[in-house]
Amino acid sequence: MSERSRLLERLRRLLGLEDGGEAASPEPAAPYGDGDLPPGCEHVEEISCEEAARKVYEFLDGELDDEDAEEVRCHVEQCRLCYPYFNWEELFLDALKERADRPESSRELRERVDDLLDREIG
Amino acid sequence: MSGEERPEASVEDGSSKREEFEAEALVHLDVLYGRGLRLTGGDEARAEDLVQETVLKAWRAWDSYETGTNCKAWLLTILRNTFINEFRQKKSRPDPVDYDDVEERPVWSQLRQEDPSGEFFDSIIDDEIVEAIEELPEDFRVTLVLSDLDGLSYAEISEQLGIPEGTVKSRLYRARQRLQKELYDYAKSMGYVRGEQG
Repeated sequence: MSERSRLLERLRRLLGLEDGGEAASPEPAAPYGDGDLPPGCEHVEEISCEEAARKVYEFLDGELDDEDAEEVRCHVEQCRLCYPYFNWEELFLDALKERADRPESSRELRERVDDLLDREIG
Repeated sequence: MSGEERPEASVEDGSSKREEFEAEALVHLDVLYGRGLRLTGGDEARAEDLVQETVLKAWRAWDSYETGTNCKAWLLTILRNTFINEFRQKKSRPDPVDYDDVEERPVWSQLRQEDPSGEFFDSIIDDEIVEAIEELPEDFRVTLVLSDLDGLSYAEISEQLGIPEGTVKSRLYRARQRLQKELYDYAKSMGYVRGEQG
C-alpha cells in the first residue's frame, strides 16, 4: 500500500466513512474453545497462557520443534486471550518484513561505484 | 600488428563483462544500500563503504556467479558476510545493554482495548519503522535485521555472530519489544491511538 493510500484510508477511518462507520475492527476470535478442541489436539499436552506467550516469537518464526509447536497451536486456537495476541504479533512481524527492507538510492554512491569499477578494470 | 589487437580484445571483454555486471548486479545497488543502512543503523558513510566493498568482491567473483540464478540474494549474502566480518572483528566484547529499561508488559496489553485487530500497524508510515530499527542498540539491531530482513534461522544467526542461540532468542525478543514500544509512542504522539492511561 502506498503512503498516500494509507493516509487516505486513515482519514476515512477517522471520519467514520468506512463500511459500517466502526472506529476499530473487532477482536479476532479464536476459532475453537468452550470444550471444542481444535483438530489434532486430543492428545496434546495443555499449556498455560504464560507459556504460550513466552514462545510467541519462536512459534511465529517456525523455530519450535513439532511437539512444542503443536502445544502452542492447540492452546492458541482455543484461547480467547492468546488468539488475538498471536494474531497481533504476526501482523507486527509481517509489517516489519514487508516494509523495513526499503531500497535507498544515493547518486554519490552510484558515482563512486562507477569510479571503483573504472579503476578496477584499468 | 597483433600487439595492438590484444589490448583491444581485452577492453572489449572487459566492457561486455561490465555491461552484464551492470544489468544483473548493479540494478540491485539501491537494495544493497538500503540493507546496508539498516545494518549500520543509518550510518551513510559506513553503508556506502559496505556497498562498495560488496560490489568490488562481486565484480572479482563475477566469473563464478552463475547467470540466471538469484543475483540479488547472492549480493546480499556478500554484503552480510562483509558486514559480519567487520562487526565481529571490532567487537571483542558485547555492547553493555541496559536490560532494565525493557518493559515487561508488552505494548499489546496497552493497545488491546483500542486496537485489537492491529490496524495500528497500518497507521505507521514506513519511514517510522525504518527509523525505529536504525535506532536500536547495535547488537539488537543486527540480530533483528539478520532474522527479519535476511530471513536467517536462530541457528544461522548464532553461527554467524558467534553467540549462543539463547542469546539470539533474547536479543530478538527485546529488539522486537523495543520496536513496538517506539512505534506505539510515535503513534500516540501523532494521535493515531489514544493510549491507555497508566
